[in-house]
Amino acid sequence: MRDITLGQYIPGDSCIHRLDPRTKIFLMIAYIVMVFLINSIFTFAVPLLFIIAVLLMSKISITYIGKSIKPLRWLILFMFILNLFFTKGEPIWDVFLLRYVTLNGIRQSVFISLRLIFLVSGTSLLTLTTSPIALTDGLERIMMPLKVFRFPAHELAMMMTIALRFIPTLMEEADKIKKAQMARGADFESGNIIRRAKSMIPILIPLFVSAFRRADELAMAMESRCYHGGDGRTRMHQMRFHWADLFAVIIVAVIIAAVVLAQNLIVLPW
Amino acid sequence: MSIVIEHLSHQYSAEGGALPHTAINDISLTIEENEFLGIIGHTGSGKTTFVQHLNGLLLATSGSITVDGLSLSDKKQRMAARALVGMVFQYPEYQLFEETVFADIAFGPKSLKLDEAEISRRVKQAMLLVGLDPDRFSQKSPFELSGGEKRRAALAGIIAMRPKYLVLDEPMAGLDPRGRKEILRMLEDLRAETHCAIIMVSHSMDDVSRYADRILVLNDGQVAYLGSPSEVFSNSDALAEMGLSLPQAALLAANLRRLGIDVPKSICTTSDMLRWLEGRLNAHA
Repeated sequence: MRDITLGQYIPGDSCIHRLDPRTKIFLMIAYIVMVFLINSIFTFAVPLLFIIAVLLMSKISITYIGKSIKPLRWLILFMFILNLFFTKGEPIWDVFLLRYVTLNGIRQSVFISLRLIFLVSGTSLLTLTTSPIALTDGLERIMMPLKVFRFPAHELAMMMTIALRFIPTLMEEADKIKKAQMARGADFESGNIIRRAKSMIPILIPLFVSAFRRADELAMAMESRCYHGGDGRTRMHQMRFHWADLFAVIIVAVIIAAVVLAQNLIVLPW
Repeated sequence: MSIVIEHLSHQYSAEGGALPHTAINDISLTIEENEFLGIIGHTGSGKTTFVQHLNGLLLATSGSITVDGLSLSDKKQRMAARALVGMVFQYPEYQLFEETVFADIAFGPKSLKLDEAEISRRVKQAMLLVGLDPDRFSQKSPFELSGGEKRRAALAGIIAMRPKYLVLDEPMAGLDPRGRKEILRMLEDLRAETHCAIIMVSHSMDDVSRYADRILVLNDGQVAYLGSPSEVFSNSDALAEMGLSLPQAALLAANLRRLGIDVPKSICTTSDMLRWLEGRLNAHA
C-alpha cells in the first residue's frame, strides 16, 4: 500500500519546477488539445520530442513516466483491441476473426493507444514537477474569475489541499488498523475475491470512523484559528509570472501552430 | 515454554527519500510464562517496533523469535503463534468495527474457529473481566460507548482469545487516573485468573515499578537494562540521561540519599517506601 503514487512530486530546482503553476496548468491543457489534434503518425513525433525535452530539462528519470503508465496498461490494451476489431472499413484479410480487422481499425487503435500514453506521460510530468500545494494554489487562482458566478474556488482548492495532506495520515492509520485486526486473527491474504473483499470491512469501518473524527477535529482547529473562508485572505507565497513563463507559453504555442499547419498543408500518408 | 528472542534487529527500509533507519538493534531476551514484563524507553527508542515483533506483525531483519517453539519467520507457525500472543495497540478503541459489542469481541475468537457456545462463553467472561456488564452492553453498538468503555471493549476483544502472552502498548494512554487504575486492576485480575504473561509498554514508571516482575529499558533500539524494578531504578543517573524519570518512591529515595539518609536500594514502589518510612517512624518513637 506504501507505493501509491498520487501527486508523486519529485522535488527539484529545474527551470520546469520553477515555472508558475498556473502556466504549467495552462500548458498542460494546451498539450492535451494538441495530442487530440494530431491525426498523423508522423506528427506524434512532436509530443514525443516535447516529453523528452521536458524530461531532460527537469532532470526527472524516465522510469517515473513508466511507473505512471504501468497501471493503465490493461486499459490501453483493451482500447487497442476494441478499436482493432470494431472499426468499420474495408477488411484486409479474410480469415476467421481477422476479417474484422480493417486498415482504419489498425490506425485507430494505434492512435488511441499513443494518445493515452502521451496524455498520461504529459499529465504525470505536471504532477512530478509541481508540488500538490502549488498545484491547488494555481488551480484556485485560475478558478478565481468564476467567483462572479458564486463558484467556490477557494473552498474547492482548500478541500483538495486537505485531501492531499491527509492521504499519508490515513495510510498510516490504515496500516495500524490492519495490524490490530491481524493481531485478532484477521486474514487478508487467503480466500477468493469475495472473501478478501469482505475481510476489508474490519479495516474500512474503523478507517471511516477515524476519518470523520479527524475531519471534525480539523474543522474545529481551523475555526479556532479564525478561518472563515477565502475572503480577505492573503497568501504566504505570492505567485508571480516570470519571463520564463512567457517564454514557455510562446514555445508551446509555436509548436502547436506548427503541428496544425503541417497537418493541413502537407498531406501525410498515415 | 517461553518467547525466546535472539539477536533481533529491525531496519525500516528507505522510502520516500528517507534514509534506512535501524529501529531495534541486536535484542536478546527470554520472556517467561506468567511473568509481567514492563518495557520503558524514551519516545523513538524502539518499544513499539519491538513489541510488534512478538506476534510477527513486523518481521525481523535479522535474528529470530520463537513463541513456545513456533518460529515467527515461518508463515504457518506465525499464524499459530498469533493465537498465543495477544496484542493490544495504543488506542485500541480505534479497531472496533462490528455492529454490537458482542460481535466485536467475538471477532478474535471466531478467527480461532471455536464453536458458537465456546465463543459466547468466552465473550461473556471477557466482558465480566473488563467490567462491562454483558446484559447491558452485549447488544449495544461499540460506537455509542464512552471512551473508557470503548477501550475496555477493545481489550475484551483480545482477552476473549485467551492469549498465553498478552502484549499491551501503552494501554493507559489518554485515560484519566481512575481509568488507568481500572485497567491496571483488570490486568491483575486477568493474570490471577488465566496465568498469562503480560508484556506492557508504559510511560508511567510508577505503574511499571509496582506491577512488573522485570523491566526492559530500551534506548536507541538496544537493551539498556533488564532486571527487577529495584535493579533497574537504582541507575537513576543513567536513566535520566536517556530521558527517563524514576518512580515517585525511587525519586524520594534518591533525594533522601543525597541528604545523607541511608535508604535501602531495594525500595522503588510507593508501598515499599511507606512501609520503610513507617518502620523508621516506629523506631524513632
